[in-house]
Order: sequence, then structure tokens, then C-alpha cells
Amino acid sequence: MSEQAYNDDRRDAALTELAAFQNALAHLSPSPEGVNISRLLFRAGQLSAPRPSRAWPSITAASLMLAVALGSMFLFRPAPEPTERIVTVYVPAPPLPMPQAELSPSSTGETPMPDTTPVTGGGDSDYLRLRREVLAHGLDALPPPTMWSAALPNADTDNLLDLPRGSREPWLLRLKRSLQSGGPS
Amino acid sequence: MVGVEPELLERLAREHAAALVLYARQWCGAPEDVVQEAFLKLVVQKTPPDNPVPWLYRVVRNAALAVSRSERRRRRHETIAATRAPVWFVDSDLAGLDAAATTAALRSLPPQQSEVLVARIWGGLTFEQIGETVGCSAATAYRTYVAGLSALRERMGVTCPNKPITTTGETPLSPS
Repeated sequence: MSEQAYNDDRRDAALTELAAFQNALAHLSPSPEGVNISRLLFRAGQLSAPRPSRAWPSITAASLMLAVALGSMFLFRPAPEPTERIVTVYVPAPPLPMPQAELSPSSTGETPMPDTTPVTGGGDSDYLRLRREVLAHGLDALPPPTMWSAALPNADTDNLLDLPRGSREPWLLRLKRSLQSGGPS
Repeated sequence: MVGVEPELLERLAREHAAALVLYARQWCGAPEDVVQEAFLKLVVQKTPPDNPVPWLYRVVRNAALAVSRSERRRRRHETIAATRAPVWFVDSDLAGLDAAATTAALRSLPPQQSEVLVARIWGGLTFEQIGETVGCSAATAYRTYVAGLSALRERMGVTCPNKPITTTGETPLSPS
């Protein structure tokens, strides 16, 4: 028998013995302790159950947050600044009680003349009545100015100006005329 | 179920859960949790894998390695877990092997060899699938398997008239 054939036989014999040993090992069962199959299937069922959609909870949460944000903005907003406005109110003037004496001149076409008779009993009421009449009829309602009681007569002009009496100089006459009330100034 | 039918899941669990737990025991002290999580990962897959068994082995391996890394940081916990390690197999008259001795011998093997042995003998994976799971070629997986089987046989005291086999030629061990 050659050496090569001897080695082949030894190798085959060893492999055969290893195959027998492998078969013996295969008859040993792994210990069944370990995985609980019922529990495993239960957990697998839990995992495979369809999960509820998260869309609606997300939308609800977003809406809630938005509502809270808007509510806090409303609660903690700064006080509004006061606005200033100019309002013009036109109040119609109350109708003036026209005395009978004042109606007659207007009916004749003359300028209405206010009553200049001093009223005893309070200057405020005279002033208010005059004001109302001026507002109603304009400046024409003003009474004519009363003559200054201390107005000098023409004869006294000479004394005032220290002029010689009886002087008929034309420039003196023009000066006297200009000093008289109602004359050209 | 999302991706896997309940019947298929139950069948996979009944047929492969124990072997997967044995496979995960190579690395971590709580293999049951790792295997259960792997099955639950399979459930939530929108597109189930074409071949779920190798997929489960790959997921269990990755998870067990991750758990092992975290356990390694807790050295004390690892020591306690090692001292109270349970027997990995059920005694069988047909096998003619002692379950505790097999467990001890398997634990003493290098992790690369023990994981290939478990995946091949109790998981029923082909060497090609083992190679994909472990990250090597089918030929390398086969060589590792034969070496691990020989080492296990020696450590269990089973008489072996010949030297350990290192060849990859035609064998009765059916490398496919």
C-alpha cells in the first residue's frame, strides 16, 4: 500500500468518525428553557396591531397651542392708547324773542335798532342780550355810540389849543373842523 | 402581522427558538431576550426575508455580540453569570453523550468554532449560509467546522485514532 493511499484511508476513517460524532451531537436537543412562545406570539400580535393615526392628535395639539397663544396675546396685550378727536357740534341758535317795538322798524325797511334803554337790574343780562343780537344780526345791531359827555363845544377849542379868540385864519378853521367829532381826521 | 404570517412565526419559534438560544449563549448571559427580540424584529419587517432562518441567526448573532460587549464592561456581572451557567442541552439516550460534558466542552471552544458548530448541527444552516452569517467564505466555514468538531471530540474524551482533520476535500460531512 502506498503512502498516499494510506493517508487517504486515514482521512476517510477520521471523517467517518467525525460524522458519527456529529450525528451523536445532533441527537442532543438544546434546552427548551428560554423563549416563551406564547408570550412571544402575544407581543408579536401587539406589535403587528395597526397603530392609530397620529394625524388627528397632532392637529388637535396644534389647534390647542394656537388657541393658547392667541388667548395669551389677548389677555396680555398692552392697553390701547387714547385717541384724541376734535368733534365740532353745531348747536342751532335759539330763536330770539323779538320785542314788538323792534319788529316795526324792520317792517318799514329801516335798520333794526337794538334797544339801548338801560335795563336796571344786572349788566350781565344786557351784555348777553346784546351779544345774541350781534350774533343774529351782525354789527348793525350795535347801538350807535353815545356822545362823550365831556366833548368840548366848538368854542372851547380855542382854549384847548390856546388860540386867539375870534381868529378867522383859514388853516385855523380847517384845524377846528377836523377836531370836531365826525369830521375828517 | 405586518410581514410574517402568524403560522410561520409560530413554526419558526417552535423549531428554531431553542437552537437560536443555544447559538446566542456563545456570547451573552441572557440569550432568551436576544432571541425574542430577533423574532419581534422579524415580525415588524415590512418585507419579510426570503429565508428567515439564516436571517434570524444573523440578527441573533449581532444582538448577542452587542449584549456581550455591554456585559463585558460589567465584569462582576459576567463572572456571576458564568458561575451559574445552565446546561445547554437535554440528555438523550440516543446521543450517548453527557449534556453537561458537552456543554462544558462547547463552552471551552473558541467562539468562532462553537458558533459554526451550533449553526451547523443544531441550526441546520448550510456552510454557505454560515459563511454569510459569520462573514467568511463557505470553505472557511467548513474548515472551521471540521476543526471545531475535532476539538470538541477531543475535549469530550471521545477516542480518536487519527489526527484532527484539516483537509477540505470530499468528506462524508457533506459541506453543502
